Amino acid sequence: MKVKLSKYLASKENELEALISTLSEHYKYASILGSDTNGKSYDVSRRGSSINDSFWAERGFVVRVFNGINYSEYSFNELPKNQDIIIEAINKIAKEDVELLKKKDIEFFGYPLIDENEIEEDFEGEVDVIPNTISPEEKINRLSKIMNDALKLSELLIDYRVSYEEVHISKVFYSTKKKLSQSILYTTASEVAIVKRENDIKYAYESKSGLKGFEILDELGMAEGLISKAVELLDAGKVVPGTYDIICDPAVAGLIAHEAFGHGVEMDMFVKNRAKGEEYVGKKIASDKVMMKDGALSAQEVGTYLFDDEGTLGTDTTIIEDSILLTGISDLLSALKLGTKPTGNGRRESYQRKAYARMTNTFFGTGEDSLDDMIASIDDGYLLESYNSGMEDPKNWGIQCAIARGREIKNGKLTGKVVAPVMMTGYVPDLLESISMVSKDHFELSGSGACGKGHKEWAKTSTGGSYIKAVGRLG
Amino acid sequence: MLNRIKKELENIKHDGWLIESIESDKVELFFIRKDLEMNRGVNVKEYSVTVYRESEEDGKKFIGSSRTNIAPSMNEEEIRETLEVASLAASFVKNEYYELVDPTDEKPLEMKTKFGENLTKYVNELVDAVFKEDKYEQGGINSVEFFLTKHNIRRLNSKGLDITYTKFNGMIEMIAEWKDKGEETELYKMIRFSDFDPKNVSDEVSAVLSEAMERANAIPTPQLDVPVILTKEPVKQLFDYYAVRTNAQYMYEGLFDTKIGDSVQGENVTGDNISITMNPVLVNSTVSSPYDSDGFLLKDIEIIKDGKVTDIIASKRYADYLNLTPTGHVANVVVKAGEITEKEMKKEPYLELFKFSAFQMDPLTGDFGGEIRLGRYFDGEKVVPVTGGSLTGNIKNIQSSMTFSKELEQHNNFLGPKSIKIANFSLASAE
Repeated sequence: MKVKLSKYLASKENELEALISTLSEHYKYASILGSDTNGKSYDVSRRGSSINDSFWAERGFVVRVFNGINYSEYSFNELPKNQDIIIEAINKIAKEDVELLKKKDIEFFGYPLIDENEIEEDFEGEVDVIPNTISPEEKINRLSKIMNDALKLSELLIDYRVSYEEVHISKVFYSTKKKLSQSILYTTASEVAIVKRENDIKYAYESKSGLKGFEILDELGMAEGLISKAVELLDAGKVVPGTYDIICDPAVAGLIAHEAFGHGVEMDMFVKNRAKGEEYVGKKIASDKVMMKDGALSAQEVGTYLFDDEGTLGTDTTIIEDSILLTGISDLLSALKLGTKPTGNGRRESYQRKAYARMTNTFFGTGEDSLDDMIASIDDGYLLESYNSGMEDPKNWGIQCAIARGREIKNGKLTGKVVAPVMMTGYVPDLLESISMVSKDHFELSGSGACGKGHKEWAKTSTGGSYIKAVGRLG
Repeated sequence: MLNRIKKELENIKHDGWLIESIESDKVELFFIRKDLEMNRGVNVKEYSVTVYRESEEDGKKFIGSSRTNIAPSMNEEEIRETLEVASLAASFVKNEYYELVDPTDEKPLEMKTKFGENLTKYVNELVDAVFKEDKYEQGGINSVEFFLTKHNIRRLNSKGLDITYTKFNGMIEMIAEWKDKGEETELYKMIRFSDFDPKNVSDEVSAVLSEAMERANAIPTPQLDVPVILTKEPVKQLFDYYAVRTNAQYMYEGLFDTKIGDSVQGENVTGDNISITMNPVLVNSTVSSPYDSDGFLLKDIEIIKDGKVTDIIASKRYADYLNLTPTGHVANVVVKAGEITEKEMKKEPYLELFKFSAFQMDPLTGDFGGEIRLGRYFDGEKVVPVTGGSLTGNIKNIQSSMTFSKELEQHNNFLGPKSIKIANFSLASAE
């Protein structure tokens, strides 16, 4: 079923084009992004349930104009019939405030004028079952059944939480030369097993995501495996700090691709001289086993779109191939400054926020090895599974990956011993250089979480890959 | 708009409602070094409505709710449709019954701030406060972003509650960089504030520039067997564990069975006893508020005194469930200082850690840790900056022997000891 563009945005086409036309009389560049995102989050737990609007739900607009030196923006969520009100607000920011800042002797960081090609394109996503066609009752009942069935499986369970979120994004972008619209629907779903023994609480989670509709719930039902993983954590030991051969599952491989490396090739960091990655463009950065991609068109996941929040069409970017760092990923203004081609990675948390260079679908490519061979190749190391969090360090390329659990490998075999949690640290090029095996199957992408830039600016991204073998410092 | 929403609520099935209206004005400036890269303004009105539906099953009363956004651009038909969807959803949510918040004549606590109407003026003064510290040749500010928002907030419910208040939310995110003999290094800093205090901002900027210089000269963290002193932001994260343990929601959900009088640090405490008060209107905190999100009037609550639980943080809903006196949800944590000074704490060899990539505290499991971006190792004779490696541990293993500094420091919604000394952790070196 096709996912239709919001009626509201469709009805505002003439008004938005008129606004751009008026603004273009005053500014050499003017664009407007309109967003109308609807969504619901469903959560069930042993002691309660909830159905609320999604965190991502919003309706509003952001105008960008060229103020003669660089760009000014105004975000608003009312479109009055008298557009003079909006023009006045934009003039205050792009003219009065800019003049005030000039009087304070503040220097301006100049950007070239955006030069666009004429383009008019629309995109409508497609899913099997449009969520709006299913009643809230059926959705909450499906989640409740999964929870109730799971709660019967272990006396150690104190809760089994099941969540489902549906998000329908409608966006339009108008400038003097561009007229774009897109309508995309994604869903995410997750299960969390929480176990308790005496005063110890541990939990394990799994999630599913994709450009899917209500059918994503068919992928749930992971209770037995999840409960077993949570119970394992109650008896988990601590890793002896040190450097080990490691195998990262697709989730941890994705975390490395995203946090440790992906943030370091966001090209607004190049403009600020904040990225170590800039020094490596065109040079060897990883072992010859490594291929890495990012792009709105690199995969069909939550980071997929026709155009980004600056009106640049999404692309499929190969970042690393044959061990060489080919390029970074870029928003429009950074590309203008650097003289490179924008890759369609200019993304906003919402219409109320600035656009930055952001990842979309980021992953390591598959290799030629089998997981069994990878485990057999390790004398003393760990299979690292799932993660709790990660943090970037683009300038100095440190790694922080908080891993949910490690399974001990001795003499080529899993011993059954589990350590948790595990902190993996180190230096990105060392880690990438150390990748010696990559599995040929088990490729997975996950887009259930959100990515921040620094400690803010949340955006939906997917990450993943297949199993990789490397050398990592664990603590 | 509020009247339009209230009018449409009359046309749908409900057993109660709560409307929240937030009008926000925001000024944003983005700098690369000292050059302005972009200026932005935001002016939005946001409305959210929670619709409640009651039901009965086997003689037991239930209540369900569903929260939905109403955009100011919606027409009457769209508002009604959106509220009907919320009403239908709420009818399928069967939570134990609880009462909505009643209106009160009691005067709310005052939110103190020196911010006023002209946001541009205040932001420009904060720009000066930041850049006056950027005066070194070997390092400085790589980039900095300023955000200042004024929110006018109003909450109304079907029981006659109607409250309004104004709050300011400020944020400065900056990257400090330094180049010495080795590679250029950087440090991240987020300053959050709700009071206009340029001196405090300048002090924070000065401190992070000094720390960036230290990181540029740091050695890899060696393998050490000395006590660790956690300083600054990580201290705040650790105490989140206790705010969660004394929260009625987590007790109702069966995660903790905390009772008044419980010893939160165990029975054999050899270090300092914890005392925590939750202060709803802590000055300069961005989460300060005279009311919680239900509209409940907030007051100070002492939750832990000398290591023992004295009260439970309970929003109206969870107080009704557990038969507790509601306190509302208070988000500012104030921890009592310790007995010894930082100087006394640092007499013997130590590893002081104060900058992590992202220090994480899991309040459910008690696990904490992070990658070390900057620390200081004192071997008994000299202090050396260190970087790399990681610290991990579980608060249940450290809480009985923690020692708190006499000096206090505020980090947004936390006011407490600047430093705490811990043992029984795992340290991975960077060598």
